[in-house]
Amino acid sequence: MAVMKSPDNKPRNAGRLPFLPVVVCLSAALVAAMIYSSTAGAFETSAGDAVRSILAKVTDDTGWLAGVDETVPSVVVDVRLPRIMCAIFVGAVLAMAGVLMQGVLLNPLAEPYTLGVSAGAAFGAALAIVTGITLYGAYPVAAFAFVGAVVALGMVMLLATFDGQIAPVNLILSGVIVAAILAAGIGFLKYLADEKVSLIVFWLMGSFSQATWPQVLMAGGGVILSLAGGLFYARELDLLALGARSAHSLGVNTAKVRLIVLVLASLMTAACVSISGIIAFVGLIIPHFMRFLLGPGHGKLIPATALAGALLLLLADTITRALLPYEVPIGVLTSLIGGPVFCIIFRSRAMAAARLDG
Amino acid sequence: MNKNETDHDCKADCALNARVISFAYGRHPIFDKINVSFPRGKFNAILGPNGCGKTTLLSILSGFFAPSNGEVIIDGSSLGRLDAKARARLIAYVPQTPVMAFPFTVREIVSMGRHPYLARFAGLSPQDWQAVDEALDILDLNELSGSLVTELSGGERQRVVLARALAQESEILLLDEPTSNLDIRHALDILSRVRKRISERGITVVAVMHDLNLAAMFADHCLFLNKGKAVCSGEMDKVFNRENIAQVYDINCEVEKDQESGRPVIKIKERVG
Repeated sequence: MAVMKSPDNKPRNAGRLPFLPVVVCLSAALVAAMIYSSTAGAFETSAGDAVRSILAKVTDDTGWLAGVDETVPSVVVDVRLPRIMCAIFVGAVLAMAGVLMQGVLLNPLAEPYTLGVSAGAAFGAALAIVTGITLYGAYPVAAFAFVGAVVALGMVMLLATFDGQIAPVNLILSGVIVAAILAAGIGFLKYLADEKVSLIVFWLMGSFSQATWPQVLMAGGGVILSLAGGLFYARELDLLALGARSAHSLGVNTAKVRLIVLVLASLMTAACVSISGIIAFVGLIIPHFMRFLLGPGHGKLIPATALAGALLLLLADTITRALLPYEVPIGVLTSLIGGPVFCIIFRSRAMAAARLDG
Repeated sequence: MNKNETDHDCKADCALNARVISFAYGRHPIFDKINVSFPRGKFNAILGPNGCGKTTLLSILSGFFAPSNGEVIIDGSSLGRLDAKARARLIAYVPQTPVMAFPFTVREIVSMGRHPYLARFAGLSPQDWQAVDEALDILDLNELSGSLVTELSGGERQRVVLARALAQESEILLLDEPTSNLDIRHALDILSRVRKRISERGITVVAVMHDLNLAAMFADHCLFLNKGKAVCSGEMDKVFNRENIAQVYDINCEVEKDQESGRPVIKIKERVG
């Protein structure tokens, strides 16, 4: 593991929090949020009843349901739980995709949304919706979303590459350009879509309100793959922070690691976008915050980001579903929070660069 | 004039040989079948004007760029055939402008030098940490070891990346203008530490250098490059002279011998015409 610890036990934490307590706190908060979220909503239940319903489902033992109103299990397990699990898994994947893209591209502003990957996936999904391929179930949309995400990322990288090196500053600009072109394409598809336009709009704003168990499984697979891939390459990602040349001289196959990690992050993002639509800035806020708390080492950062991303999206989804008088699309909510954070990161980096130059 | 005369007499004890190397950026050719070699256990300077291919040559020697023709031979085996970590145990590389993308501590960055010795998922052993501490010591970084590299000055960063390369404990150390971000005191300091490492460990250093006086003070052996050609190479006494420098840089100068150190000293004259 890429955890670098000194054997002499001197305090060398550089103002960082210890890993284990942070992970334990995040896990506890996530479990508490799950329980709260499964009780909250138009139909209120007690926490005990909600937990019993879930246990009954998990252990397949109706004994847990003694004394519980019979509508509770159906509301909690069939309606709320898939939505809760989707929010958790999608949040974890999007946050990890942010860490992975930032680690490979050496740019703390890189994430699926700013790199145009989300827009590519949305374009693919909109295309699938307009052409009516959705009749064959949810998987064609996911497949179209994936192809769209990979093509968009390819275009962005091509635009930002000079002499075989990716120029990190150009990357975000390229992402903006590609996303703008795709937005025009999506606008055209919306124009063509007639009565299906609401389906596309729903997608662009992001929501978990249609979450199903198969989607939970797909997102769960995304979590496992992202976590496994990220931890497998954790130390290589640390070394890439030194730049491609230095990482190469330390024995990292930079081209291979970059390609695998970027494709993995895009694939997982595409899977998520096909479930929830576009949810921006989770991959930006969470990695930034966790890097501040725990330091930049990927061995710690990746699992912690997954937990924090899951917690953020679950809380955001619970707020829009159960607390607000009208359901606000979650993508709108995260953008309202994430936009200003993006501005702050951009400003502080620009200032740090100016200070070092001067 | 020793035109295009590169010395091949050192082949028997050369740490690094580049044979009939060609390289081009797209359609823009840089090298056409050049031969260069660097004797073992010496401070080798690569000298030449801007744009003559010094940094490109270093990238080829480090294996970052693959030549379109020829091969780099290290200890009798071809660089291109070595596995990435095996290559990293033989050659360390220090870039001209260190990249520090994320707020790692100095100690974390230096410990990254041990990567070529670590199995996946394995942590650093006490011996690895010893190499890290030694490298921190050599470059006087103990005070800074817990600081974030993103908050260091250019000169401090240069020391950190050199420490990382020393922690790598390779036989060959490639330096791309190691003193370009440093004032003269720190430049002298860094280069004497490199020299000390050569005398203690017998490593081979190949350094691209801009400052001819620093090269004259520290190098044992030098290679003059001009427009992608190896103009001449050899021991300082033999090749670091008025004719070669005038030819390669197109300047007027005198080279004298310092009475105290016995090393060459260069006096650059204002260019006439």
